[in-house]
Amino acid sequence: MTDPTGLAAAASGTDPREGLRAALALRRLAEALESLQVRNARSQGWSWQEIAEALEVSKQAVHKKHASSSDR
Amino acid sequence: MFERFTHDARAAVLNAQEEARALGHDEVGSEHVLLALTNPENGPRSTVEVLAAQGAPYGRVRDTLIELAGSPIRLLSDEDAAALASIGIDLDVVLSRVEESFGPGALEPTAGRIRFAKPGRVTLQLALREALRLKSRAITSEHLLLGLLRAKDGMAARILKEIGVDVAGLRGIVEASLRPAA
Repeated sequence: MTDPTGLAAAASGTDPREGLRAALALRRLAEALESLQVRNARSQGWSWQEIAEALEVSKQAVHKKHASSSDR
Repeated sequence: MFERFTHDARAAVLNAQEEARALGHDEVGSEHVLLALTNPENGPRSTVEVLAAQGAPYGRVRDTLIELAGSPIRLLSDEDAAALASIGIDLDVVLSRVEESFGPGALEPTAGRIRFAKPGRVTLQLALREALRLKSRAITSEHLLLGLLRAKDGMAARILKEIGVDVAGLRGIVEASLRPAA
């Protein structure tokens, strides 16, 4: 697990465990970045509609997902 | 209402937020209050002892919580970093770029303010009700615990049930401990 070369070889190869783990880590990173940037946008006065358009999702989806954490 | 909480009970409520944060949960619920009430490091001695005696020590409660509520989100674990490295993403570089603009820890999962979820608020209200029922002016950590036991569908009660704690028996013991010594 701590051998970077071995890991890289595994994930660029066909081992599903390593490949899926990379997808999971990427999703966690994306979620954290989205959460941060939505809070940032709200604090700069962006509307939910504007944020939704930037993220290419519906206004309802973005509001449901982020309203609780950024409006308090 | 918070001003009626004793020092211990107030600390437990605040510690519950820390427990939630440590688990990567962004809302505080009854389960985190329960966890705070069992923590031997900073929890109220009375509830820590009675819960441990009933088979619900801190570690057991925490493990069961994670089991029922899902694995804690830990964005910055070494495993995540290694997995990202395997597809060519250097997490350290990403973090330093983000932190240049937003400050240290900006991408931590609970960087936003932690708030009380509805179950958490219910927990406080139930504690108040227990204090009133038992004719106590102050709301103590025991009342917090009794309130958790009262919320049958709450996560705290579910965790205790999962562990196999006799909830009715536990309530009896706690109530008995609150009666003034004769």
